[in-house]
Amino acid sequence: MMDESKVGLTSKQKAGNFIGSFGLIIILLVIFGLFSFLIPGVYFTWVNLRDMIRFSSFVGIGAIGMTFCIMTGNFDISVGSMLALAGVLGASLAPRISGVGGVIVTIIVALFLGFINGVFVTKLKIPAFITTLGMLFVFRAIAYIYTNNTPQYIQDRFWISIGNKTFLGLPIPIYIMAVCYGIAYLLLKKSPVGRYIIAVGTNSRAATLSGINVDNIKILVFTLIGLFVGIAAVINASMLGAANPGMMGDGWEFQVITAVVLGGTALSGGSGSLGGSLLAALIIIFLKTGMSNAQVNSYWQQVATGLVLIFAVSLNKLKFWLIGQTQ
Amino acid sequence: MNEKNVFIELKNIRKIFPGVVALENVDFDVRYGEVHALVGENGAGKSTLIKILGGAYQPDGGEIFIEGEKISISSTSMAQHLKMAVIYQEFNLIPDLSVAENIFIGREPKIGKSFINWNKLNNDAAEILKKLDIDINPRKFISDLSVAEKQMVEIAKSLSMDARLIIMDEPTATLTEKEVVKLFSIIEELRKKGVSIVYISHRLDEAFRLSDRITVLRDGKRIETKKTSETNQDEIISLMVGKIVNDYFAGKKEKTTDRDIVIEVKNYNIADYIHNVNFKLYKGEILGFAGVLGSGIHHLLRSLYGAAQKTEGEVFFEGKPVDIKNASEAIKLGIGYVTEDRKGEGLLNDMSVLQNISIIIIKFLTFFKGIFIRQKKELDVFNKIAKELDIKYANINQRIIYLSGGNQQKVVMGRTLVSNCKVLILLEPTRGIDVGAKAEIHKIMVELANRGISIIMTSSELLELVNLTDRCLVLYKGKLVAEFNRENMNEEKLVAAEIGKLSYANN
Repeated sequence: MMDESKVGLTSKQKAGNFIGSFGLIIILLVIFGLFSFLIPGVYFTWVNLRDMIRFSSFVGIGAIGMTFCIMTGNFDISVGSMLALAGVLGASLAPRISGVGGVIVTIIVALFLGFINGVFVTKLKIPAFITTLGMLFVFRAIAYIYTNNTPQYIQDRFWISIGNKTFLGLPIPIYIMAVCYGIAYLLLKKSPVGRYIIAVGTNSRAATLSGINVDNIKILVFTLIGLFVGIAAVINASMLGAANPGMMGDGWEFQVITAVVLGGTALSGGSGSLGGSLLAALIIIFLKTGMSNAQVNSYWQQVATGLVLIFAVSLNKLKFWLIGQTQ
Repeated sequence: MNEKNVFIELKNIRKIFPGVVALENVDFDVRYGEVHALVGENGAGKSTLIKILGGAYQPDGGEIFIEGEKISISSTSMAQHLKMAVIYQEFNLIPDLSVAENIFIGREPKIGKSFINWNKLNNDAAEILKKLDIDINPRKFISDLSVAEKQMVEIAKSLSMDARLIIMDEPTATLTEKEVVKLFSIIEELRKKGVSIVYISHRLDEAFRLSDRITVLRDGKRIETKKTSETNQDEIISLMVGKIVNDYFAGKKEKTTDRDIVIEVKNYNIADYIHNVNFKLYKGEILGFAGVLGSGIHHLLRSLYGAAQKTEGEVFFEGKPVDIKNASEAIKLGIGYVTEDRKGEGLLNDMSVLQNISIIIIKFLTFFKGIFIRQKKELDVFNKIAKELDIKYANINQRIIYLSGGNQQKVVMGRTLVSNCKVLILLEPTRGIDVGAKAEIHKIMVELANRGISIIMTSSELLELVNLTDRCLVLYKGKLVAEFNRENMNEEKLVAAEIGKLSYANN
């Protein structure tokens, strides 16, 4: 081998690394700058910025579990329905077992639903896409049946305050999101489990031969999705003041998956970035809010969101091309 | 040199990857009807060079001329258009399509504009295969073919597009003797037709048997291009490693006198693969297993590691009966396993050198009830083994795939060694790595055995077994048919036993 450490990079490769590190931040700044320029008094205000970050916590927290899942080469499209089922169960029980109890039930139910997905995928060997597609219908339907299609209103002050109160000037969901990302980061970077998750994603056969129980890691990852979906459900229900079996989390799975993919996590598994997912969640909400404020037709909003996704992924390709490495 | 003889010429080719100069000012040319061997250790730049020829990589500097005309090979289809074909080690065939479909993929004969002319497709394919004297039904699916057959299909494919230059990357790595002979006669035929061939191989004797000229690459530089008739293997080896290598098998192992049994296998059966096998593994010995495809060795050794299941029989580890159901149980006992399929089930591609080493023991290098990694300790473990095995890397965060084959192998071995194993199962420990690294791996194995670690190894290079092992067991169709020790072992006997020509009794 040659002495690699002394070799300089070409300008092309430097550009590639730059895109890899700062691409998403630049997209976010461009979006923020653009709307600040277009609708100055509305968009570029402290209140708006604060609210956008608060709203992005909903997608952002959901994206944490999904990042882990996609890193292992799997997929979960049932999260929107999972959110609704966990939310209506917790909200319906809250009057009887207190708001704290309702919050705990919501999180535990989601955790359990995620665990079920994991068991189906590993032990019954049903592909994750099929399992979670099935569960997308099952969870949503049970939510309808259980509530008889009526929204479950939340009156409890504790629960309501989670999504709406501020602490030291910042909305509480922002703190929750920060804590969630902090814990997820430690799990991924500083614990053996994080290593196992990446190992399973990059080469599950090698992981098996290294003594890693691949099935257990996958079940864990689906359960983690449940955990973060539960937390997101608590926040979402709190912000809306109710858990609605039909509307809650409808289409949310696509926002969450979009955030993870936009954030640079490879669908083939193995590599991914929590920071990327967080930035991508911000991008999605900044873009959406900006277009709503600028009174862009909601269909055009979807067109723009789709194009940004494709653009970000092609940026990723560009990065690999510049570095001169086939993905 | 007469310019008119040259089909393709590369001048001052330079290619850089993050942190690595893969090729530096390399000159290379191929003449009409020439077999030009390209040799060098892993990491020397051979793969990069052929990927540039095949249009898969773009050079960062330098020029390429075909028949004197400057061109740029901007894509793989451009290379095809220029009548150049690369046969990679990992074939470019589509497993769910037939042989004929693969041969003519993208160029299928049509009826009208839209419909494939299946009869013509199959007949044309059959004709090409026949021309090459290859006996494969063109209607067969690729997934049903053996490795050798797939290779023949690749060659047929390159001929079907009238390739004028065929680049073969380690074509014989997975072939049997007989198949190699076949391949050589095909190469001879091609040469006569004026097709140029770039031949890459770790097996120098093949390069000498086939080639007109040999180019040696080392550390991304062209060291020399020699006429094959004017050089010899020793010279080429010393050019490859940059120093004179006179002892290929450095430091022969001390003879084991230890008679402590580490593993004993009794009446072992694996349905369809292993029938009533018994053997013992002693402390500090290197035990070889030899056998051709279908011998069942692979299944036997995998099951000892818990990666496959036995159907019957007993295993005793240090005298105690054990039932190893998975890798983690084997690791707990102190058994390590290094796969022969480094890429497929050895390397954790997206992870760093450091993380690849520590993956097995990481759960023990923790604090706070196993939740957090002790990074200092992980680094200590890594540094120790990296030094011991002399692993070459740029920094600990470098991705494992950027290391050379020899260093990757050391990492995969190191991964099991750091978990303090008593038994090391090494499948094809030197497959696909270069001469210099090979000698190093041999040295490491001998040192480990001298330290009391028992090694079980397989190798398709029988000389490796003869030179390294204390004993060698030969399996034929799932049965143990011969056992040799240092005194009575040689290549000829091993070959004979492998193909069932020698019975257990008369040995």
